[in-house]
Amino acid sequence: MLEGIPVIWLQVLVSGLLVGVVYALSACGLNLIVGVMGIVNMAHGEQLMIGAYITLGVYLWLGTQNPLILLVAIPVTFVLGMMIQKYLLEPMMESLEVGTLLLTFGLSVFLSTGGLFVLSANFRFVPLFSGSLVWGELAFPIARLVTAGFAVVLTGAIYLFLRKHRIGGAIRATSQNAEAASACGIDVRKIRILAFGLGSAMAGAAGALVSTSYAFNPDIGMTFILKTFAAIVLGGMGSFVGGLIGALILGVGEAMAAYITTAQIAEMFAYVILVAVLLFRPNGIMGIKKT
Amino acid sequence: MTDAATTTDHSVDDGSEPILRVENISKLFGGVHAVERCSMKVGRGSITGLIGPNGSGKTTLFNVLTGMTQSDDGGAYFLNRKINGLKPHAIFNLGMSRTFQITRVFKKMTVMENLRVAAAHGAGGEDILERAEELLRLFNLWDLHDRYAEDLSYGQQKLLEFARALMPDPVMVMLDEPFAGVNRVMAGKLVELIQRFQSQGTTFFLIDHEMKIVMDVCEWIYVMDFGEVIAKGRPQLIRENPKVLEAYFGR
Amino acid sequence: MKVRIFQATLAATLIFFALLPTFADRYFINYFLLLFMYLTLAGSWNIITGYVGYLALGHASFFGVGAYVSALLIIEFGVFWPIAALAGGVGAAICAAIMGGICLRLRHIFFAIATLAFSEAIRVIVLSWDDVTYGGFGVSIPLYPYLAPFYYFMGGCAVATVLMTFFLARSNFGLRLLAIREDEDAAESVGVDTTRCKIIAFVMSAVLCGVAGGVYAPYITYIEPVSTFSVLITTQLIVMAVFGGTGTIWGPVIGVILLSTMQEIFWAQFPYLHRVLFGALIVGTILWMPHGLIDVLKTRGLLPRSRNL
Repeated sequence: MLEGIPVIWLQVLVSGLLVGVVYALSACGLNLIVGVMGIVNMAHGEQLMIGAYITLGVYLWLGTQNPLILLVAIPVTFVLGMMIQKYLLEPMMESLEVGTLLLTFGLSVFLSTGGLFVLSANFRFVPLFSGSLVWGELAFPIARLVTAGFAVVLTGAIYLFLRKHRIGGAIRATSQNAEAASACGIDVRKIRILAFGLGSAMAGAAGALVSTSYAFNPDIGMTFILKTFAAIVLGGMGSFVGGLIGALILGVGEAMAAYITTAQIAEMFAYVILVAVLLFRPNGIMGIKKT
Repeated sequence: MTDAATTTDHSVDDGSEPILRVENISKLFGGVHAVERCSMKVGRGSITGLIGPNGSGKTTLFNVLTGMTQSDDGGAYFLNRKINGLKPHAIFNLGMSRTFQITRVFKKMTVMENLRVAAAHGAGGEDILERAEELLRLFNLWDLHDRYAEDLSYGQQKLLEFARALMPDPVMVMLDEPFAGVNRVMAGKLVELIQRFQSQGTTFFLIDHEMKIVMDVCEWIYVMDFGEVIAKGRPQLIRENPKVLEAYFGR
Repeated sequence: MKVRIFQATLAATLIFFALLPTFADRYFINYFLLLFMYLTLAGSWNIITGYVGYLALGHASFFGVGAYVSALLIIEFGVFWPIAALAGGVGAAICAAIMGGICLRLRHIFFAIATLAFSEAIRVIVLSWDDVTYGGFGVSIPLYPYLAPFYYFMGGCAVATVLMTFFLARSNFGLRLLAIREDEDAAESVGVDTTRCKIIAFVMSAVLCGVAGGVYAPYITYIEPVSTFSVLITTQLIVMAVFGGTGTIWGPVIGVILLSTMQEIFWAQFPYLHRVLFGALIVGTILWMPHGLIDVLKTRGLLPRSRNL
């Protein structure tokens, strides 16, 4: 079966999937927040950026090549997310959505410019891995393979948590109908804080993974949140699996676009997808229309 | 449609064309028929009621007729124009206005402004103000005309919403559970106002749970259960209809 | 009586600014020119975000489109800059009509990020479409040697923005926009064609931004995609409008005046820091004075509680 397809396409496809899985982590995190909180966290991309810088920091401080340092970003961004929800967003929960959105926008500006102020605008990188895995005519950087593996495990773990664990169930219930959930004895406020923390942690984890394959600086937040948004729109906002599918398609699409045209045009791919979906199928692939 | 009940007068006036015709409207939610092949007629100048136990689909049907939801099958015709598929504002401009079960007044706008927004398409500035004042005085809300709607009591908001629905001098007003959560005095006031406007030619269609008031006010009643129309007729007949009793009490 | 004082002050201020170029030195003329520009931007943005209640995060793109349309008309076709500037406004309006048509169907929360995405997309297009826009090289415009005309044109934009907001606050159309903001579904059910109104409002909020951009290009004589479409522009106009008070006529005006002054005196010394402060200020304002300074003044009784303020 493999003979018919030119090898290069296989390379592109798998590369795209490897990246897509990391996007999926971020997308599922944002979907979680949208589902439970009803808002888009504009600072989601900055959480990702923070995850990258934490990893960099740990890497420089410990001076080790151990891949496990990738996990450090998770608890940190988790706590950060919970604090943001608890102190900044909870007081706003009753008021107009515009205010809450604006607040997260302001936060996003604060974090990214704060990063520029405190750190430098130079692009950084975490060289945890080197070399590539060669398989016949295909070659994949170890960094991408390992991070994709991490991403799959983490996304799978979150999925199982949401499906099987009691608290995961509470989160899903709250995102479907907060009032009903509250009536069932669920402390909706705590769930929101938890969910925001979880969503942020997923972004942070994605950031940690990204840091080993791509150069990053405090400004990358915006690019990533827009790509994440394109992924969840494509997959259907509010759907966990939709976010996953959308992210994978985005990853593969970008890889293909980069191969066919230039890297610059490939950057546009996410936006093209966004416009196309909004025009033709606003509910996305797995669209859940929230009444 | 050879059913005897349908060919006899379905409206309380001289039997003229119904202003609202619902023909085999169906609406599914994920495979479940919330509304299944419902048909109804509302005569000009009548007060028609739609009742049914919880989950009977009456609210869904109501939302289809007012444009908030799209039907999956069937047609609804208002003044012989097809309205299912139209957006709520287009339906409003055809002459059908509505109220909401839980009042949705524009909170940060004044009472007067709430009415001004609902003015008929193309009405002149002076006429709008005149009509608004007339309505507010009738509803005893004139003294509050400069107050923000959020400062009004629940009962006053309900009246405001009703006045707002009457602002464009509509052909028909759809009332969504108008007696929900109101005390007897307020209910009496509402009934009075409904009858007053009916005598001036406005048609009313309402859904509600309060059986007693609906029986008293409406001239013709439709009953729904499990998404279908199970009975129709004058209140006395409905009261004794075994299917209706079973729907409400026999489960 | 108070109204008379207000009107007199307003008249005096207008006369002061009209005569400014005759006595002030270049530093001040430039300073106020930029202030008028931000007034136009913040005031315009206020229309879609404050009055309709849809947070738009892509307004820098209208400014940028206006700047580019104007710049390219000047250097490719020799159009006189004031005409080019107005054409910039048209360009921005067309952009807004398209963007609005696509994005306004979405719920508020997605509208915000969608406008940001569009804005970025436009930036990338301008950056990549070298043949037309000169891409990363930017566009150089020959210098028009008089400063005062730019000052007056930008001043005109600012006045037009305030007048536009004034009209909105008093008109039936503005009332419909408020109804949309308060309860969009209820507005639909009382006959407001919400989609049409939203798009019109969005275009209204973009037009003058485009004209301002169209004036800015020949004024600054060099534009390129990074700074012209920068999120910093959006951030700046947002913080000024929000600080002053969205949904009011004078809120953005006060916000622009106060914050530009502070920026000029203190913050410009520390370029990166003042951006951080903007972010913090947005967060702080939303948390502690969500309807802006104007609202605080109204609550304290220093200003009448009219919505026409």
